[in-house]
Amino acid sequence: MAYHDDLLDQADHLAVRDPKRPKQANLRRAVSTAYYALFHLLVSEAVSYWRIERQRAALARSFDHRKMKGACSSCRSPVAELKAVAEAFVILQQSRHLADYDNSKAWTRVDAVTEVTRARGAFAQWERIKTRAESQDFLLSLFAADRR
Amino acid sequence: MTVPLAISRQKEIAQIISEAEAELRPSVERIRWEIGQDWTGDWAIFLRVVLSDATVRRRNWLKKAREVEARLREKIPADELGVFPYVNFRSQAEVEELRDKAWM
Repeated sequence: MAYHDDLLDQADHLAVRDPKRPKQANLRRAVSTAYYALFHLLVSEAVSYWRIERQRAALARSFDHRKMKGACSSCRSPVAELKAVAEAFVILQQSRHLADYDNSKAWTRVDAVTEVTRARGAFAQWERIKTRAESQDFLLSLFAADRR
Repeated sequence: MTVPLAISRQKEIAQIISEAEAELRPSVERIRWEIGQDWTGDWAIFLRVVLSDATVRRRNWLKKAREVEARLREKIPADELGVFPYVNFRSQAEVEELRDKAWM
């Protein structure tokens, strides 16, 4: 199973733990992990196009969260699923930032589960469109600098 | 810093959201919102949707939440207003337990 799939399952698991009184730590980790699941999915898809396999890990490390967000925010693709994946990335990144750094925001089960489901939805949408030319161009935009 | 059109069109936004609230009842109890900046400094509209407890108790509540979010995205001309819409959800019971003013 790929790392991003494991992360998504872990996010699911954390979001529904402690049925009666969810712990903030678990909800926060669920939201953060959901973002990283989508992040690693897109990065792994992008680097899979790099022919020299031993260089892919190094290439993957060069992806920048802020630049990826910029590319996703400016995605105006007519392919609805692609636009939805890009939007999910932006939203999950913001949620991840709050979950990891803003202790003044309390997370609830409903909020955490909707974010994890957002990531799962993005996975499913990506699966349907990943071989399209628009999707490949999108992956390039995540990596290439200067999108705004 | 460029200020988005959303800042000067808050009355219009309030009207749109009020209409959305009415349309989405009884699944939605209320929608709170504000214009602000996200963690990267980009302008955003933050929408906080309170789902009714009856809705959240249903097996398909996540589908309903997705429908609510999709409807809000349709109704709010975010591109034109220069903001990115962020939508978060809580149940009515969660709101009452936490008593967070931003959601009341």
